[in-house]
Amino acid sequence: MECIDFVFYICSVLINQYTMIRIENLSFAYSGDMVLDNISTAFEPGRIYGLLGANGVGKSTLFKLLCGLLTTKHGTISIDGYNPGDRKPAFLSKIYYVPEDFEGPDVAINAYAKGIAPFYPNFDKALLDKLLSDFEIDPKRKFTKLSLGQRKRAILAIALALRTEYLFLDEPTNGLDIPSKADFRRMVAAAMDENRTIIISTHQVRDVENLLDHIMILSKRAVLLDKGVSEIQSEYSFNISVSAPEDALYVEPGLGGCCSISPNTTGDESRINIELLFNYINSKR
Amino acid sequence: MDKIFDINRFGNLFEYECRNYLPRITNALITYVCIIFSLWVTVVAAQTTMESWTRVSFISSIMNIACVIGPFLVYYNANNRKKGYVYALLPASALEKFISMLIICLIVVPLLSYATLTFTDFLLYLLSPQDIFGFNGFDFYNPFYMGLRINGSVSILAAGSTTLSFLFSISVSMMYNMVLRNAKIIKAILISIAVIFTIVIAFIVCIVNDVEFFFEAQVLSPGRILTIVNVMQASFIVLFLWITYRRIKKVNY
Repeated sequence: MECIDFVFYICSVLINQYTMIRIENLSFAYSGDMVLDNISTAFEPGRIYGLLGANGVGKSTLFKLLCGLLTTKHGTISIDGYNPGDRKPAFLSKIYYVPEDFEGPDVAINAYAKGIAPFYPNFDKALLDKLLSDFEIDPKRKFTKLSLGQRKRAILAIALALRTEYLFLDEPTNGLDIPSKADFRRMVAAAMDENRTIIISTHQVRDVENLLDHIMILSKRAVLLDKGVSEIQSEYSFNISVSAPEDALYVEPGLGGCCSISPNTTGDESRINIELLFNYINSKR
Repeated sequence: MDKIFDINRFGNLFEYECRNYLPRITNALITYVCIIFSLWVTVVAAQTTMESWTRVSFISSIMNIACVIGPFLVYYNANNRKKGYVYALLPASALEKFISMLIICLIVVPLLSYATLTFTDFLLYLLSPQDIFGFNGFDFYNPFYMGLRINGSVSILAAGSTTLSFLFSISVSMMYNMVLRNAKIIKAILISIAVIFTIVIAFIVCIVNDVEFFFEAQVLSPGRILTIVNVMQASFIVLFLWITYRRIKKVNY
Protein backbone atom coordinates (compact mmCIF):
# COMPACT_ATOMS: atom_id res chain seq x y z
CA MET A 1 0.00 0.00 0.00
CA GLU A 2 2.84 2.35 0.91
CA CYS A 3 4.47 1.60 -2.42
CA ILE A 4 1.28 2.59 -4.28
CA ASP A 5 1.06 5.79 -2.25
CA PHE A 6 4.66 6.59 -3.08
CA VAL A 7 4.11 5.99 -6.81
CA PHE A 8 0.97 8.12 -6.68
CA TYR A 9 2.93 10.88 -4.91
CA ILE A 10 5.74 10.78 -7.48
CA CYS A 11 3.20 10.87 -10.35
CA SER A 12 1.34 13.82 -8.85
CA VAL A 13 4.62 15.69 -8.34
CA LEU A 14 5.63 15.04 -11.96
CA ILE A 15 2.20 16.02 -13.30
CA ASN A 16 2.19 19.17 -11.17
CA GLN A 17 5.62 20.04 -12.48
CA TYR A 18 4.22 20.25 -16.00
CA THR A 19 0.65 21.46 -15.42
CA MET A 20 1.09 24.55 -13.40
CA ILE A 21 2.87 27.85 -13.11
CA ARG A 22 6.02 27.74 -11.03
CA ILE A 23 7.97 30.85 -10.15
CA GLU A 24 11.30 30.42 -8.40
CA ASN A 25 13.53 33.19 -7.08
CA LEU A 26 12.21 35.60 -9.66
CA SER A 27 13.65 39.11 -9.69
CA PHE A 28 13.03 41.89 -12.15
CA ALA A 29 14.17 45.50 -12.36
CA TYR A 30 13.43 48.35 -14.75
CA SER A 31 16.77 50.13 -15.38
CA GLY A 32 18.00 49.49 -11.87
CA ASP A 33 14.63 50.07 -10.17
CA MET A 34 13.85 46.73 -8.54
CA VAL A 35 10.19 45.72 -8.92
CA LEU A 36 10.11 42.02 -8.08
CA ASP A 37 12.76 40.71 -5.72
CA ASN A 38 13.39 37.00 -5.27
CA ILE A 39 9.78 35.90 -5.51
CA SER A 40 8.81 32.24 -5.41
CA THR A 41 5.27 30.94 -5.75
CA ALA A 42 3.07 28.57 -7.75
CA PHE A 43 -0.32 28.78 -9.44
CA GLU A 44 -2.30 25.54 -9.61
CA PRO A 45 -4.90 24.57 -12.18
CA GLY A 46 -8.61 24.81 -11.40
CA ARG A 47 -8.28 27.98 -9.39
CA ILE A 48 -9.01 31.67 -9.76
CA TYR A 49 -6.24 33.76 -8.26
CA GLY A 50 -6.61 37.33 -7.11
CA LEU A 51 -3.38 39.28 -7.51
CA LEU A 52 -3.56 42.33 -5.29
CA GLY A 53 -1.12 45.10 -4.53
CA ALA A 54 -0.67 48.85 -4.49
CA ASN A 55 0.19 50.72 -7.67
CA GLY A 56 3.69 50.01 -8.93
CA VAL A 57 4.36 46.82 -6.97
CA GLY A 58 4.79 44.82 -10.16
CA LYS A 59 1.44 43.13 -10.85
CA SER A 60 1.44 44.02 -14.55
CA THR A 61 5.16 43.25 -14.71
CA LEU A 62 4.46 39.80 -13.28
CA PHE A 63 1.79 39.26 -15.95
CA LYS A 64 4.21 40.33 -18.66
CA LEU A 65 6.83 37.93 -17.30
CA LEU A 66 4.27 35.12 -17.20
CA CYS A 67 3.30 35.79 -20.84
CA GLY A 68 6.88 36.10 -22.04
CA LEU A 69 6.51 39.77 -22.95
CA LEU A 70 9.37 40.47 -20.55
CA THR A 71 12.32 38.25 -19.77
CA THR A 72 14.70 38.15 -16.85
CA LYS A 73 17.93 36.36 -16.13
CA HIS A 74 17.24 36.29 -12.40
CA GLY A 75 15.06 33.37 -11.42
CA THR A 76 12.87 31.03 -13.42
CA ILE A 77 9.28 30.79 -14.55
CA SER A 78 7.89 27.51 -15.80
CA ILE A 79 4.40 27.17 -17.25
CA ASP A 80 3.57 23.56 -18.06
CA GLY A 81 7.30 23.06 -18.47
CA TYR A 82 7.71 25.99 -20.89
CA ASN A 83 9.89 29.01 -20.34
CA PRO A 84 7.53 31.91 -21.28
CA GLY A 85 10.44 34.00 -22.59
CA ASP A 86 10.91 31.52 -25.47
CA ARG A 87 7.41 32.42 -26.76
CA LYS A 88 6.97 28.99 -28.32
CA PRO A 89 3.73 28.66 -30.31
CA ALA A 90 2.56 25.68 -28.19
CA PHE A 91 2.98 27.81 -25.06
CA LEU A 92 1.36 30.90 -26.58
CA SER A 93 -1.73 28.90 -27.54
CA LYS A 94 -2.18 27.96 -23.87
CA ILE A 95 -2.31 31.52 -22.59
CA TYR A 96 -4.27 34.69 -23.19
CA TYR A 97 -3.61 38.08 -21.68
CA VAL A 98 -6.06 40.94 -21.39
CA PRO A 99 -4.20 44.13 -20.40
CA GLU A 100 -5.74 46.97 -18.45
CA ASP A 101 -5.90 49.35 -21.40
CA PHE A 102 -6.92 47.24 -24.36
CA GLU A 103 -7.43 49.34 -27.48
CA GLY A 104 -8.12 46.67 -30.05
CA PRO A 105 -7.33 46.57 -33.75
CA ASP A 106 -9.27 48.52 -36.37
CA VAL A 107 -11.33 45.48 -37.38
CA ALA A 108 -14.74 44.06 -36.49
CA ILE A 109 -14.95 41.90 -33.36
CA ASN A 110 -16.06 38.78 -35.23
CA ALA A 111 -13.33 39.28 -37.87
CA TYR A 112 -10.70 39.56 -35.15
CA ALA A 113 -12.02 36.48 -33.35
CA LYS A 114 -12.16 34.56 -36.65
CA GLY A 115 -8.54 35.55 -37.35
CA ILE A 116 -7.11 34.37 -34.04
CA ALA A 117 -9.39 31.33 -33.57
CA PRO A 118 -7.22 28.90 -35.62
CA PHE A 119 -4.33 29.50 -33.22
CA TYR A 120 -6.32 28.39 -30.16
CA PRO A 121 -7.44 24.75 -30.42
CA ASN A 122 -10.14 25.05 -27.71
CA PHE A 123 -11.84 28.14 -29.16
CA ASP A 124 -15.62 27.91 -28.75
CA LYS A 125 -17.51 29.99 -31.32
CA ALA A 126 -20.92 29.25 -29.79
CA LEU A 127 -19.65 30.44 -26.41
CA LEU A 128 -18.31 33.64 -27.98
CA ASP A 129 -21.67 34.36 -29.61
CA LYS A 130 -23.42 33.76 -26.29
CA LEU A 131 -21.00 35.93 -24.31
CA LEU A 132 -21.21 38.79 -26.81
CA SER A 133 -24.98 38.54 -26.77
CA ASP A 134 -25.03 38.53 -22.94
CA PHE A 135 -22.69 41.54 -22.92
CA GLU A 136 -24.95 43.21 -25.53
CA ILE A 137 -22.11 43.73 -28.00
CA ASP A 138 -22.71 43.67 -31.74
CA PRO A 139 -19.98 41.38 -33.18
CA LYS A 140 -20.01 43.27 -36.48
CA ARG A 141 -18.80 46.48 -34.88
CA LYS A 142 -15.16 47.50 -34.99
CA PHE A 143 -13.17 47.69 -31.73
CA THR A 144 -12.21 51.26 -32.56
CA LYS A 145 -15.87 52.28 -32.75
CA LEU A 146 -16.66 50.98 -29.25
CA SER A 147 -16.55 52.79 -25.91
CA LEU A 148 -13.95 51.70 -23.32
CA GLY A 149 -16.48 49.56 -21.45
CA GLN A 150 -17.78 47.93 -24.65
CA ARG A 151 -14.22 47.22 -25.82
CA LYS A 152 -13.45 45.65 -22.48
CA ARG A 153 -16.56 43.47 -22.63
CA ALA A 154 -15.76 42.40 -26.19
CA ILE A 155 -12.19 41.35 -25.41
CA LEU A 156 -13.28 39.60 -22.20
CA ALA A 157 -15.84 37.63 -24.23
CA ILE A 158 -13.11 36.63 -26.71
CA ALA A 159 -10.67 35.80 -23.89
CA LEU A 160 -13.19 33.49 -22.21
CA ALA A 161 -14.29 31.88 -25.50
CA LEU A 162 -10.71 30.99 -26.46
CA ARG A 163 -10.76 28.59 -23.50
CA THR A 164 -7.01 28.79 -22.96
CA GLU A 165 -5.55 26.96 -19.99
CA TYR A 166 -4.15 30.15 -18.51
CA LEU A 167 -5.98 33.43 -18.56
CA PHE A 168 -4.37 36.60 -17.24
CA LEU A 169 -6.76 39.49 -16.64
CA ASP A 170 -5.29 42.87 -15.67
CA GLU A 171 -7.95 45.09 -14.08
CA PRO A 172 -10.76 43.36 -15.99
CA THR A 173 -13.60 45.29 -14.36
CA ASN A 174 -12.18 48.77 -15.00
CA GLY A 175 -14.57 50.57 -17.32
CA LEU A 176 -17.41 48.07 -16.85
CA ASP A 177 -20.79 49.34 -15.68
CA ILE A 178 -22.55 47.69 -12.71
CA PRO A 179 -24.61 45.14 -14.72
CA SER A 180 -21.52 44.23 -16.77
CA LYS A 181 -19.53 43.58 -13.60
CA ALA A 182 -22.18 41.10 -12.48
CA ASP A 183 -22.16 39.53 -15.97
CA PHE A 184 -18.38 39.33 -15.84
CA ARG A 185 -18.43 37.46 -12.50
CA ARG A 186 -21.08 35.06 -13.77
CA MET A 187 -19.21 34.37 -17.02
CA VAL A 188 -15.82 33.83 -15.38
CA ALA A 189 -17.39 31.44 -12.88
CA ALA A 190 -19.15 29.58 -15.73
CA ALA A 191 -15.98 29.43 -17.83
CA MET A 192 -13.94 27.93 -15.01
CA ASP A 193 -12.97 24.27 -15.05
CA GLU A 194 -10.40 22.06 -13.34
CA ASN A 195 -7.79 22.48 -16.08
CA ARG A 196 -7.93 26.23 -16.18
CA THR A 197 -6.04 28.83 -14.17
CA ILE A 198 -7.31 32.38 -14.12
CA ILE A 199 -5.25 35.14 -12.54
CA ILE A 200 -7.01 38.44 -11.97
CA SER A 201 -5.12 41.54 -10.99
CA THR A 202 -7.38 44.25 -9.62
CA HIS A 203 -7.82 47.19 -7.31
CA GLN A 204 -11.60 46.78 -7.51
CA VAL A 205 -11.56 43.88 -5.05
CA ARG A 206 -15.29 44.01 -4.40
CA ASP A 207 -15.94 43.26 -8.08
CA VAL A 208 -14.22 39.89 -7.81
CA GLU A 209 -14.64 39.11 -4.12
CA ASN A 210 -16.87 36.09 -4.60
CA LEU A 211 -14.89 34.72 -7.53
CA LEU A 212 -11.50 34.14 -5.99
CA ASP A 213 -10.16 30.80 -4.71
CA HIS A 214 -6.79 32.15 -3.78
CA ILE A 215 -5.43 35.54 -2.81
CA MET A 216 -1.92 36.77 -3.42
CA ILE A 217 -0.87 40.16 -2.08
CA LEU A 218 2.27 41.66 -3.55
CA SER A 219 4.29 44.49 -2.12
CA LYS A 220 7.30 46.07 -3.70
CA ARG A 221 9.88 43.29 -3.55
CA ALA A 222 7.87 40.63 -1.66
CA VAL A 223 4.83 38.37 -1.62
CA LEU A 224 3.03 39.38 1.57
CA LEU A 225 0.23 36.82 1.39
CA ASP A 226 -0.21 33.73 -0.76
CA LYS A 227 -3.08 31.67 0.60
CA GLY A 228 -6.27 29.94 -0.44
CA VAL A 229 -9.57 31.51 0.53
CA SER A 230 -10.50 28.59 2.81
CA GLU A 231 -7.11 28.79 4.52
CA ILE A 232 -7.62 32.50 5.17
CA GLN A 233 -11.13 31.84 6.47
CA SER A 234 -9.90 29.19 8.87
CA GLU A 235 -7.13 31.46 10.09
CA TYR A 236 -8.99 34.77 10.40
CA SER A 237 -12.42 35.91 11.39
CA PHE A 238 -13.88 39.00 9.66
CA ASN A 239 -16.36 40.90 11.82
CA ILE A 240 -18.52 43.99 11.76
CA SER A 241 -19.42 45.09 15.28
CA VAL A 242 -20.23 48.20 17.27
CA SER A 243 -16.93 48.00 19.10
CA ALA A 244 -13.76 46.21 18.14
CA PRO A 245 -13.23 42.75 19.65
CA GLU A 246 -10.48 42.55 22.27
CA ASP A 247 -8.40 40.12 20.25
CA ALA A 248 -8.74 42.15 17.00
CA LEU A 249 -5.64 42.09 14.84
CA TYR A 250 -6.76 45.02 12.73
CA VAL A 251 -9.64 47.46 12.99
CA GLU A 252 -11.12 49.98 10.56
CA PRO A 253 -14.00 52.29 11.33
CA GLY A 254 -17.03 51.57 9.20
CA LEU A 255 -20.69 52.48 8.89
CA GLY A 256 -22.56 51.50 12.06
CA GLY A 257 -19.47 50.30 13.92
CA CYS A 258 -16.12 48.93 12.93
CA CYS A 259 -14.76 46.24 10.67
CA SER A 260 -12.16 44.01 12.22
CA ILE A 261 -10.00 40.98 11.68
CA SER A 262 -9.36 38.63 14.55
CA PRO A 263 -7.92 35.14 14.86
CA ASN A 264 -10.50 32.46 14.07
CA THR A 265 -10.87 30.69 17.41
CA THR A 266 -14.31 29.19 16.83
CA GLY A 267 -13.64 27.40 13.54
CA ASP A 268 -16.62 29.11 11.91
CA GLU A 269 -15.89 30.55 8.47
CA SER A 270 -16.77 34.20 7.89
CA ARG A 271 -16.98 36.01 4.57
CA ILE A 272 -13.62 37.53 3.63
CA ASN A 273 -13.43 41.30 3.42
CA ILE A 274 -10.56 41.49 0.93
CA GLU A 275 -10.08 45.22 1.30
CA LEU A 276 -9.72 44.86 5.07
CA LEU A 277 -7.41 41.88 4.65
CA PHE A 278 -5.27 43.84 2.18
CA ASN A 279 -4.96 46.77 4.58
CA TYR A 280 -4.18 44.45 7.50
CA ILE A 281 -1.47 42.59 5.60
CA ASN A 282 0.06 45.85 4.40
CA SER A 283 -0.04 47.33 7.93
CA LYS A 284 2.07 44.39 9.21
CA ARG A 285 5.00 45.21 6.91
CA MET B 1 2.71 22.41 -32.30
CA ASP B 2 6.27 23.06 -31.15
CA LYS B 3 7.68 22.98 -34.68
CA ILE B 4 9.63 26.07 -35.64
CA PHE B 5 7.74 26.19 -38.94
CA ASP B 6 4.30 24.72 -39.51
CA ILE B 7 2.78 25.42 -42.92
CA ASN B 8 -0.83 25.47 -41.67
CA ARG B 9 0.01 27.81 -38.81
CA PHE B 10 1.99 30.00 -41.17
CA GLY B 11 -1.00 30.11 -43.53
CA ASN B 12 -3.25 31.18 -40.66
CA LEU B 13 -0.74 33.82 -39.60
CA PHE B 14 -0.33 35.21 -43.10
CA GLU B 15 -4.10 35.38 -43.55
CA TYR B 16 -4.46 37.06 -40.13
CA GLU B 17 -1.81 39.66 -40.95
CA CYS B 18 -3.26 40.36 -44.40
CA ARG B 19 -6.73 40.85 -42.91
CA ASN B 20 -5.72 42.83 -39.82
CA TYR B 21 -2.54 44.70 -40.75
CA LEU B 22 -2.62 45.22 -44.51
CA PRO B 23 -5.64 47.59 -44.50
CA ARG B 24 -3.36 50.05 -42.69
CA ILE B 25 -1.74 50.98 -46.01
CA THR B 26 -5.09 51.93 -47.58
CA ASN B 27 -4.80 55.59 -46.56
CA ALA B 28 -1.25 55.72 -47.91
CA LEU B 29 -2.37 54.28 -51.26
CA ILE B 30 -5.18 56.85 -51.45
CA THR B 31 -2.60 59.58 -50.75
CA TYR B 32 -0.37 58.35 -53.61
CA VAL B 33 -3.34 58.34 -55.98
CA CYS B 34 -4.18 61.90 -54.91
CA ILE B 35 -0.58 63.03 -55.54
CA ILE B 36 -0.61 61.60 -59.08
CA PHE B 37 -4.06 63.02 -59.70
CA SER B 38 -2.85 66.47 -58.51
CA LEU B 39 0.07 66.26 -60.90
CA TRP B 40 -2.31 65.42 -63.76
CA VAL B 41 -4.60 68.34 -62.82
CA THR B 42 -1.56 70.65 -62.82
CA VAL B 43 -0.48 69.42 -66.24
CA VAL B 44 -3.97 69.86 -67.69
CA ALA B 45 -4.50 73.26 -66.02
CA ALA B 46 -1.15 74.54 -67.27
CA GLN B 47 -2.06 73.36 -70.77
CA THR B 48 1.25 71.61 -71.05
CA THR B 49 2.32 68.02 -71.57
CA MET B 50 4.42 65.66 -69.53
CA GLU B 51 7.21 63.58 -71.02
CA SER B 52 6.89 59.86 -70.52
CA TRP B 53 10.34 59.83 -68.90
CA THR B 54 9.37 62.47 -66.32
CA ARG B 55 6.14 60.68 -65.51
CA VAL B 56 7.85 57.32 -65.06
CA SER B 57 10.52 58.87 -62.82
CA PHE B 58 7.89 60.64 -60.73
CA ILE B 59 5.74 57.54 -60.27
CA SER B 60 8.82 55.36 -59.66
CA SER B 61 9.80 57.73 -56.84
CA ILE B 62 6.36 57.40 -55.29
CA MET B 63 6.61 53.62 -55.71
CA ASN B 64 9.95 53.62 -53.87
CA ILE B 65 8.58 55.77 -51.06
CA ALA B 66 5.55 53.45 -50.80
CA CYS B 67 7.80 50.40 -50.47
CA VAL B 68 10.07 52.05 -47.90
CA ILE B 69 7.32 53.28 -45.59
CA GLY B 70 5.25 50.10 -46.09
CA PRO B 71 6.84 48.17 -43.17
CA PHE B 72 6.29 51.17 -40.86
CA LEU B 73 2.62 51.41 -41.78
CA VAL B 74 1.83 47.70 -41.67
CA TYR B 75 3.81 46.71 -38.55
CA TYR B 76 3.95 50.05 -36.72
CA ASN B 77 2.73 48.60 -33.41
CA ALA B 78 4.64 45.33 -33.56
CA ASN B 79 7.18 46.44 -30.93
CA ASN B 80 5.03 49.03 -29.15
CA ARG B 81 5.23 48.55 -25.37
CA LYS B 82 1.45 48.80 -24.93
CA LYS B 83 -0.05 47.63 -28.20
CA GLY B 84 2.64 45.22 -29.39
CA TYR B 85 1.60 42.39 -27.07
CA VAL B 86 -1.10 41.32 -29.57
CA TYR B 87 1.59 40.66 -32.17
CA ALA B 88 4.04 39.09 -29.72
CA LEU B 89 1.52 36.72 -28.14
CA LEU B 90 -0.02 35.46 -31.36
CA PRO B 91 0.74 31.72 -31.24
CA ALA B 92 3.20 31.47 -34.12
CA SER B 93 6.96 31.05 -34.10
CA ALA B 94 9.35 33.97 -34.61
CA LEU B 95 10.42 32.42 -37.92
CA GLU B 96 6.82 32.27 -39.17
CA LYS B 97 6.24 35.87 -38.13
CA PHE B 98 9.47 36.92 -39.83
CA ILE B 99 8.67 35.13 -43.11
CA SER B 100 5.14 36.54 -43.10
CA MET B 101 6.57 40.04 -42.53
CA LEU B 102 9.10 39.46 -45.31
CA ILE B 103 6.42 38.39 -47.82
CA ILE B 104 4.12 41.26 -46.91
CA CYS B 105 6.85 43.92 -47.00
CA LEU B 106 8.84 42.61 -49.98
CA ILE B 107 6.06 41.31 -52.20
CA VAL B 108 2.53 42.23 -51.12
CA VAL B 109 3.03 45.93 -50.32
CA PRO B 110 5.16 46.63 -53.46
CA LEU B 111 2.67 44.73 -55.64
CA LEU B 112 -0.29 46.60 -54.17
CA SER B 113 1.51 49.93 -54.59
CA TYR B 114 2.55 49.02 -58.12
CA ALA B 115 -0.98 47.95 -59.06
CA THR B 116 -2.50 51.11 -57.58
CA LEU B 117 -0.02 53.43 -59.28
CA THR B 118 -0.24 51.64 -62.64
CA PHE B 119 -4.04 51.60 -62.55
CA THR B 120 -4.16 55.33 -61.66
CA ASP B 121 -1.75 56.19 -64.45
CA PHE B 122 -3.69 54.05 -66.91
CA LEU B 123 -6.94 55.73 -65.85
CA LEU B 124 -5.46 59.19 -66.36
CA TYR B 125 -4.11 58.13 -69.73
CA LEU B 126 -7.62 57.04 -70.76
CA LEU B 127 -9.04 60.34 -69.54
CA SER B 128 -6.61 62.52 -71.48
CA PRO B 129 -4.25 60.59 -73.76
CA GLN B 130 -3.12 63.87 -75.32
CA ASP B 131 -1.58 64.98 -71.97
CA ILE B 132 -0.19 61.63 -70.86
CA PHE B 133 2.01 60.10 -73.50
CA GLY B 134 1.67 56.34 -73.73
CA PHE B 135 1.20 53.71 -71.10
CA ASN B 136 4.46 52.94 -69.37
CA GLY B 137 3.23 51.03 -66.32
CA PHE B 138 5.82 48.30 -66.74
CA ASP B 139 8.65 50.79 -66.32
CA PHE B 140 7.62 52.04 -62.87
CA TYR B 141 9.71 49.31 -61.48
CA ASN B 142 11.90 47.73 -64.09
CA PRO B 143 15.48 47.04 -63.01
CA PHE B 144 16.65 47.15 -66.65
CA TYR B 145 14.94 50.47 -67.34
CA MET B 146 17.86 52.69 -66.38
CA GLY B 147 20.35 50.60 -68.37
CA LEU B 148 18.10 50.59 -71.43
CA ARG B 149 17.44 54.29 -71.10
CA ILE B 150 21.08 55.29 -70.72
CA ASN B 151 23.03 52.71 -72.73
CA GLY B 152 20.35 51.15 -74.85
CA SER B 153 21.57 47.81 -73.56
CA VAL B 154 20.88 45.57 -70.60
CA SER B 155 23.52 45.36 -67.87
CA ILE B 156 22.95 42.45 -65.50
CA LEU B 157 25.26 44.07 -62.95
CA ALA B 158 23.31 47.34 -63.03
CA ALA B 159 19.98 45.51 -62.95
CA GLY B 160 21.22 43.50 -59.96
CA SER B 161 22.30 46.71 -58.27
CA THR B 162 18.84 48.26 -58.80
CA THR B 163 17.13 45.16 -57.42
CA LEU B 164 19.50 45.00 -54.45
CA SER B 165 18.89 48.71 -53.74
CA PHE B 166 15.17 47.96 -53.73
CA LEU B 167 15.64 45.05 -51.28
CA PHE B 168 18.11 47.11 -49.22
CA SER B 169 15.67 49.99 -48.72
CA ILE B 170 12.85 47.67 -47.64
CA SER B 171 15.03 45.54 -45.34
CA VAL B 172 16.46 48.64 -43.65
CA SER B 173 12.89 49.89 -43.12
CA MET B 174 11.90 46.55 -41.61
CA MET B 175 14.86 46.75 -39.25
CA TYR B 176 14.19 50.37 -38.24
CA ASN B 177 10.55 49.48 -37.61
CA MET B 178 11.44 46.67 -35.22
CA VAL B 179 14.33 48.48 -33.51
CA LEU B 180 12.81 51.93 -32.98
CA ARG B 181 9.94 52.27 -30.52
CA ASN B 182 8.31 55.60 -31.41
CA ALA B 183 8.52 58.47 -33.93
CA LYS B 184 9.95 55.75 -36.11
CA ILE B 185 9.92 57.41 -39.54
CA ILE B 186 11.48 60.68 -38.33
CA LYS B 187 14.15 58.84 -36.33
CA ALA B 188 14.85 56.50 -39.24
CA ILE B 189 15.35 59.46 -41.60
CA LEU B 190 17.65 61.25 -39.14
CA ILE B 191 19.73 58.14 -38.45
CA SER B 192 20.00 57.41 -42.18
CA ILE B 193 21.14 60.98 -42.89
CA ALA B 194 23.74 60.72 -40.12
CA VAL B 195 25.02 57.36 -41.44
CA ILE B 196 25.17 58.57 -45.06
CA PHE B 197 26.91 61.78 -43.97
CA THR B 198 29.51 59.78 -42.01
CA ILE B 199 30.13 57.44 -44.96
CA VAL B 200 30.52 60.35 -47.38
CA ILE B 201 32.96 62.13 -45.05
CA ALA B 202 34.94 58.92 -44.56
CA PHE B 203 35.02 58.37 -48.32
CA ILE B 204 36.21 61.92 -48.98
CA VAL B 205 38.95 61.54 -46.36
CA CYS B 206 40.07 58.29 -48.02
CA ILE B 207 40.22 59.91 -51.46
CA VAL B 208 42.08 62.98 -50.20
CA ASN B 209 44.65 60.79 -48.43
CA ASP B 210 45.20 58.42 -51.31
CA VAL B 211 44.29 60.11 -54.57
CA GLU B 212 46.72 58.01 -56.57
CA PHE B 213 45.13 54.78 -55.43
CA PHE B 214 41.72 55.81 -56.71
CA PHE B 215 42.50 57.72 -59.87
CA GLU B 216 45.99 57.15 -61.09
CA ALA B 217 46.48 53.47 -60.38
CA GLN B 218 42.91 52.79 -61.66
CA VAL B 219 42.57 49.84 -59.32
CA LEU B 220 38.81 50.23 -59.26
CA SER B 221 37.07 50.02 -62.60
CA PRO B 222 33.36 50.97 -62.78
CA GLY B 223 32.40 47.31 -63.10
CA ARG B 224 34.48 46.40 -60.08
CA ILE B 225 32.99 49.25 -58.03
CA LEU B 226 29.51 48.03 -58.94
CA THR B 227 30.40 44.48 -57.91
CA ILE B 228 31.76 45.71 -54.55
CA VAL B 229 28.63 47.81 -54.03
CA ASN B 230 26.41 44.82 -54.84
CA VAL B 231 28.27 42.54 -52.43
CA MET B 232 28.09 45.20 -49.70
CA GLN B 233 24.39 45.74 -50.30
CA ALA B 234 23.70 42.00 -50.18
CA SER B 235 25.67 41.70 -46.92
CA PHE B 236 23.78 44.58 -45.34
CA ILE B 237 20.43 43.12 -46.46
CA VAL B 238 21.29 39.85 -44.68
CA LEU B 239 22.40 41.79 -41.58
CA PHE B 240 19.24 43.95 -41.47
CA LEU B 241 16.98 40.94 -41.92
CA TRP B 242 18.83 39.04 -39.21
CA ILE B 243 18.42 41.98 -36.79
CA THR B 244 14.70 42.14 -37.68
CA TYR B 245 14.31 38.41 -36.94
CA ARG B 246 16.14 38.72 -33.61
CA ARG B 247 13.93 41.64 -32.61
CA ILE B 248 10.76 39.67 -33.43
CA LYS B 249 12.08 36.80 -31.33
CA LYS B 250 13.47 38.65 -28.35
CA VAL B 251 11.96 42.13 -28.05
CA ASN B 252 10.67 42.98 -24.57
CA TYR B 253 7.40 44.86 -24.10
